[in-house]
Amino acid sequence: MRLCRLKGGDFLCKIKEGTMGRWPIITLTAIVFLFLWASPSLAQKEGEAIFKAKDCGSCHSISPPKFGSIEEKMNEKGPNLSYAGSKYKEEWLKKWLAKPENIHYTKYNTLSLKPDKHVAIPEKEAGEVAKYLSTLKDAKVVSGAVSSGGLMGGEKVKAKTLFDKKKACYACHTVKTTAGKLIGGRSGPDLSMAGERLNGDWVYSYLKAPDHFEPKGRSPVFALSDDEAKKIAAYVVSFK
Amino acid sequence: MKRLALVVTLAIILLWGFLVFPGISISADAKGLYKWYCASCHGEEGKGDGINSVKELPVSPTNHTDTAEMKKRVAKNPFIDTIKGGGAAIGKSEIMPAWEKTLTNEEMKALDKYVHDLCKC
Repeated sequence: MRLCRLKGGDFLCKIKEGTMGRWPIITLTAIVFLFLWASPSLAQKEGEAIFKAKDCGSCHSISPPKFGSIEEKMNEKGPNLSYAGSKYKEEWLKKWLAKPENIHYTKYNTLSLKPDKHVAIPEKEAGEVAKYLSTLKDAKVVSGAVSSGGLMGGEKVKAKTLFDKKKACYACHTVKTTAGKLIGGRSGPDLSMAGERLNGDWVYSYLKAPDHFEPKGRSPVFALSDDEAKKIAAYVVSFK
Repeated sequence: MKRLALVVTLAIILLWGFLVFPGISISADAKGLYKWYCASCHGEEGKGDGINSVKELPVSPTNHTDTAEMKKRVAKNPFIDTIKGGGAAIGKSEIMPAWEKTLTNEEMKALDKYVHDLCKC
């Protein structure tokens, strides 16, 4: 036994002379804890660095969209990602970045049916970039607007009527029939697997204020009621 | 004196340009608007063959270059009504959306004129 000196006075150490007792375990635990606590933000930082190194910004702006001209819209090369964390599901981003499949049938914002193929990145990097993109949020997205429980019975029928007939969304967006057949227009992004990709709250917020997320976008402003927008959003994210 | 003559000459040239080509600027804008908002269904040349003209849709997009059909249509409803209120406003398919919340009045008027130019009616 030896005396240990602390501010409050002396006390007897319960450790034997020449050993370090529990301190290595405590220190190690603290390091592991700190590492685990810090790793998500480290991954985000890595993701941001990869985003910059791969020059993703040359096609994807991460600044909030500006209200420009139609000509400027036509010259855009890829979607604005300033609200990617509100729009996309992180798990989907991770998978898609590692193995991208076209969501658009056209070259971005054109009428050419020859879309560019998105570059694939290694799985680990994809996870880090997905983590970074998930931090890019838009305060206008209403959290909790669309319940994760989905639509049931009559509500689903009403939503389908809005989507198919009243607003005829499938005239521009491809969807999947119950038999698994892809039908619909090709000018807008494919929605057949939208539920894997999009967050319902973002879909709702987009439907309520499309100009905020995509000024001068091709999709018409429908001026939907809250109820209509919630139904359509819930219906869209049920596509899987 | 020379400067005054130059200014007058330029003014005459500009005035002549506006008189001979009155719709030149609006047509240029309208063509861009048509390409951006309408061509995905109606086709870049207005023939109703845009990339959204797929067989699963219950109706095909209107061929804006079909003069006879377009004359019949415009006799019933001005094109601007369809642009503003969509198909539903004139008792036609709701697949044609209403554009009044998306476009300005000037933009809709420009498109109305452009469709009249396409159908030659």
